[in-house]
This record gives sequence, structure tokens and C-alpha cells, in this order.
Amino acid sequence: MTPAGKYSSWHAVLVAMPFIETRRPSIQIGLLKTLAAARGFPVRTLHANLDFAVRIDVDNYELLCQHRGPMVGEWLFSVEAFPEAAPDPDARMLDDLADRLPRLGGSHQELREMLLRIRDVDVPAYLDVLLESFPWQEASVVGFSSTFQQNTASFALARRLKRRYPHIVTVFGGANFDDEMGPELVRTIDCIDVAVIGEGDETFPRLLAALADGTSLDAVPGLARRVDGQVKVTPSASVAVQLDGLPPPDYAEYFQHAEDLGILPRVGYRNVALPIETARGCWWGAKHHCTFCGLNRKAMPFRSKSPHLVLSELESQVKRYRTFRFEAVDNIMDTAYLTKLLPALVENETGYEIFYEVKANLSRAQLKLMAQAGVTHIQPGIESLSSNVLRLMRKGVRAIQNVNLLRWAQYYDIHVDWNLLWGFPGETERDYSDQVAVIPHLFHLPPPSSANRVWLERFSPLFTESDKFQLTRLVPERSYRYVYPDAVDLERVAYFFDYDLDGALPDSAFAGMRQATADWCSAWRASKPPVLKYWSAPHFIQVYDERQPGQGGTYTFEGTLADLYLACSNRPTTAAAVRRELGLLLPTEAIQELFGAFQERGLMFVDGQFVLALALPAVKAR
Amino acid sequence: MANLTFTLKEIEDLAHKVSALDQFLSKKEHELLLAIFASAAEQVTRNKAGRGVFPAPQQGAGSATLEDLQQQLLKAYIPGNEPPHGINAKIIGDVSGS
Repeated sequence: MTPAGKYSSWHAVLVAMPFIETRRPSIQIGLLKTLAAARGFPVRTLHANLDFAVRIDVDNYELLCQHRGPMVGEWLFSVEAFPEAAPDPDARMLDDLADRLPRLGGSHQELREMLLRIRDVDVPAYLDVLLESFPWQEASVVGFSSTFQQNTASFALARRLKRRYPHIVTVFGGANFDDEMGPELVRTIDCIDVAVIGEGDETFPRLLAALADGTSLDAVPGLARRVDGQVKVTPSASVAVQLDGLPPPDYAEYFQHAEDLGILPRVGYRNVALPIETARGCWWGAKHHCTFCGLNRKAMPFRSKSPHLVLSELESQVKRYRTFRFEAVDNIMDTAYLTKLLPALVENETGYEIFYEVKANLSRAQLKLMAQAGVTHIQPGIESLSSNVLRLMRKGVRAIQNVNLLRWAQYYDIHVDWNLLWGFPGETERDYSDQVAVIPHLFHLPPPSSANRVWLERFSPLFTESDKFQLTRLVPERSYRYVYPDAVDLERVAYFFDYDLDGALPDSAFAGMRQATADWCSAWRASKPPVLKYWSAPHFIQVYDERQPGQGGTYTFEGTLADLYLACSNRPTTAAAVRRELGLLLPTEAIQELFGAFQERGLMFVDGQFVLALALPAVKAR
Repeated sequence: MANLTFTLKEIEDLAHKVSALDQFLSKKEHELLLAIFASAAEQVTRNKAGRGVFPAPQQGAGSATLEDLQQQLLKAYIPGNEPPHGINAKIIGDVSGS
């Protein structure tokens, strides 16, 4: 037990620097605050990303946060992070990678001027104000959580803090410091005193205690620091953190700061998604690691929080922060929640709106349950509409299951965010011409949020097994060279990589996919979205098809045809199974032929021997 | 026609009797009989009491041929935009307040 007041004068500050979005607090610093406070440390959190967002315009800031491409956010703070050693004071990156920059409006020249103004005027002014407006002198430790593009902004502030307050110990952690990335950053960047490698829930409070007590850091697992000019790394903890031991994160200072800055209203409804963590790791990835996925370097073993603790946390956080929206940061929902958590949410008649990442093999009944429980937004790992490409990705689902998920999520009004990926070793042009042909049949279902060549991420099987996948070139993504000084070994620090793949399809093979998905998205922006729905009576259905605007029409099917169509509506099935279910005398081959005729009309999705009706019931909520 | 349930013994008795016909069947007829049994076996399920169940043929399903159904498919589509749906409630009485 911590003696009362023992650490009361040992203040720590946890900082979230740009670039993370403004409409949600950082779960990383919120959780570490609670854990450290429980050991008796006075801890403050500072969402300094909010100040920067207000300074450069919140909408522009959010666009920079959401941009996937060159490290523009990291580049903006590079000069302040590494003054003399910054590699791109002349802003060559803005021309070299001009076609991949975020679209903040205006011409390229206007964008260039805007980014230069942010880098050369806003960033230094922001850091100056930040340094003066917070009682840093009280802090013994300042911790930075860094994920994706948060490194250089954090280094820039840490550098100024170390210069002004040399007594402050700077501690860095987060996904950007995992594995060999942390030690390399510690080796080359002076303003980092200590880095936490891996999960920080246990390590960070132990580090604070060791610093406060003046005991050796060698006994604290999972640290990297410079000792006598060398980087010393202590072995990581042997036991993974169990989530039932983690308390709800403390977001109070986020809300206060966001209100003070006018980002959130002080009263009434607040459009904020509260991050919750109900699981870590990936139960699918532990068995079959998807080839492109770079999450979970060492944290792949799946752990989840007990349902009764999740229920209690949801309730307490709603009452504390007056927001009913939650975003689970889990990589994948625990399947046990389908029987243990969601039914309890239904029974309690709670009015939460919850986001989850899910595996795409959910059934109609499961999606209905999710909708009833308040899971209003999901991100399934769909990634492709080709079963062959999904097999190459090791996704463990077929294209027809992906389509079925899109159908029933649409029916139950669950918003779906999903992506289309291409560029995998072993895929063929046919895999894509087939998808291009089928996409117009799916226009009544939600389109992908993005469609692109796969990004190569550190820790993914494509990276770790690059020989096996016949990668002939694997180098840090091009923009890193405009961010980090020469002394930093980018091979050890980069998370994204450029690559060439032996035998890969050329970009031209995906032109049809780009156009088809663009058309799909465009159709959903119309005032009247595409529709394919059916009304049914015993042995009789009518299907209304207006997937192409202004080209509506109705199919009427009776008797066996109606029965065949309805038998394929709930879930993917096969001709033989339908024949058995309906007790038909028609041979299986004849039924397959009829399914082919439905497919030609775009009314069914056929995937090998599996088949699925594409229309949705016109009558909702069943 | 209701589902047809049966026991293992009933099937064994039937098989015994049918086997008596075997000597009168050509090789082709023998193969045909086996194929019919095999096809029928695909439709059998087991109920909670452990009995076999043949599903009852659907009404009308037996008479539909592939050609009939293909013809129905060819004629199934009628172009035209969706008629308005929903209940158009009429306002009864004077709501103008005058």
C-alpha cells in the first residue's frame, strides 16, 4: 500500500500533442492518470492538441489528423523538434509529394503557403504559448503518449521543456515506441529521457515510483534509456496486463480544456465519443494474423474486460461526462459479448451509442442484437469483395459473408465504416474484374470509406515475412526522410514502408475498382440513395430495384421462384441446402441454374457454391 | 401432404423386400434404383425422437420445371419507378380555425 502523501509532491503531467482528433479524449493519458493517481501521484493531463487545433482552425486540423499519406503532421513540427538537424527547412517535401498532400482547399500554391505558414508561424507561436501557459515548473515528470503522427510535436515541446526546466524527466511511450522503434528514438533524440516499450499500465506507475524513490530503473520492466552513451533496455514484463484490473480513464481535464477553448459547450449535449477499452489483442490474429495488419506487436493474445465491469464503466462514464457515445478502441469485439454483454445492455434498456470493430462474419441475429443493444456504428474487417483475395489476406471470411454483413447492418440501421484494399501477393486481374462487375449490384449497400492499395505496416506478416511474400524492395515511406535527421535510422523508426512486390499487379489493374467505388460513393451522395428491397407473402414476393437512379423497376416472383429467393435471404446458403429446406424435386443443378439467372439480374450474389439474395426486406425492424 | 417419419427397422424391412427384386433388375436399373435412394437420403433429417423424417413436398413445387421457372424469370421484370408508399392520412374537419 502506498503511504499517504509519500508522493504528493512528485507531480507528473501527461500530454497529448498533435495530431490526434479533437472530438475524443486520449484514452492513453486518461488511463495512465488514473493508474498513477491510484499509487498516490498527483497527475495532470493536458490535451495540448486542442490548443493547436484552435490555432490553425479546427476543420483544417481534423483534415490533417485524418489524412493517410505523407507524414505532413510530423513534417510540420520537424523544424521545431530538430532545429539545426531538421532535414527539410526548404520544404522540398511539399513539391516532391505534391499529389499526395491533404486537401485543405485551394490550389497547390495556396496549400503550400498555408502549410508553410503553419510550420513557420503557428507552430513556434503555439509552442511558446504552451510553454508559458502551464505550470510546468511544478512537474517532476512529463509523459508523452505518441501514436501515428504525434512524435515530432511531442519532441518539439520536450526539447523546450528540457531547456527551460532541466529537472524535468521526459517519458515517452505509445505505439510509436514499440519494439525497436523506442530504443532507436532514445538513441538519437536527446530530449527523450526514458521510453516505455510496450504496455505502460504497470510500467509507468512503477517508473514514477522508482524515480521518486531514487531507486534503480533497472528493476522496472520495459524501459529504454541512455546510460553512459549506450541505450539500455530492460526486459518487458512477462505477464500481460489483465483488463479487469484497469479502472475507467479520467477525462475530466479534457472536457474542462475543450470547454475553455470553446470546442465543446459547457451545457447541453456534447458531441464527444468517449474511448473505452473492453479488450486488447486480437483473437483472430492470434490464430491467423491478417497479412496486412501491423497492430499488436507483442500484445496479440486476446484479453477482455468482464461484462459486468464494462456495464458499470459505461454507466459511470456517462454520468460523469454527460455523453452517451462510446468508441471501443478494441481491435476486435469479444464474441463472448454477444451472449454476455449485449443482452444485458438490451435488458437494461440503456440508451448508449457504441462503436466497435468487429469480424465480418456476423449473422443477421447478431447484428439485430447489436442494434438493440446500442451498437450503432461498426468497423468490420471487410477489405475485399473477392474470396480469393480474402484468402490471400488470411481474413477467414468469404466475400459473401462480407456482403451479408453489409445487408443486415443496413437493415438494422447500423452505420458501417469499411475499406477496400488491393495489391496482395498472388491476386489476379480476374479477382478485380469480378469485383468491378458485382459492385453495381451492391449499390443499395453502404459503400467503402476508402479503396486503395494496401499500406505496408511494420509488424504485419507482409513486413515480418517479406521474403516469403517476395517483396523486392522494402524502404521507409518516402516522407520520413523529410521529417527525421540523418542520425535517425529510419529502418528502425518507420511504421509505414514503401515496397515492390514480385509479380504484383500493376496500378492499371485497379483502375476499374477505383471507378466502380467512386460511382458507388457518388450514388450514396444523391438525394435519393439507391434501393433494392422486397415485400413478401407466402410463395410470393415483389422486389423493387432502383439501384441506378431513375431506372426503377419491379420483379414479381411466385411459387418456387419466390421460395428460392427468400430461402437465400437470411444468410449465405447453397443450392443443395435450399433444395433440402424447401423439399424441392428440382435437381440441385437446376436450382443452381436459377440462382445464376437471379445473379445475372443482380438480385443474388454468388460466391463459389454459396449464394445470397441481395434485396433487403422493405418492412423494417424484424 | 405431411412430413413422413420412419424408423430404422421400417427402412431395413423395406430394403429387405426391395432386395428380392434385385434378381429381376438389369445393371442399369439397379444403378438407377440406388441413385434414387441416394437422392432421397439427402433429404432425410432426424427428429427429436430419433426417427427419420422426409419433408413433405411443397405445394406446387413438384409441378414446376426448370423451363417454367426460367420463363417466369424472363417475364418477372416491369420497369417503372416505385409508387409512393405509406399512409396518406386525410384531414377530416376544419383545421383552419376559421
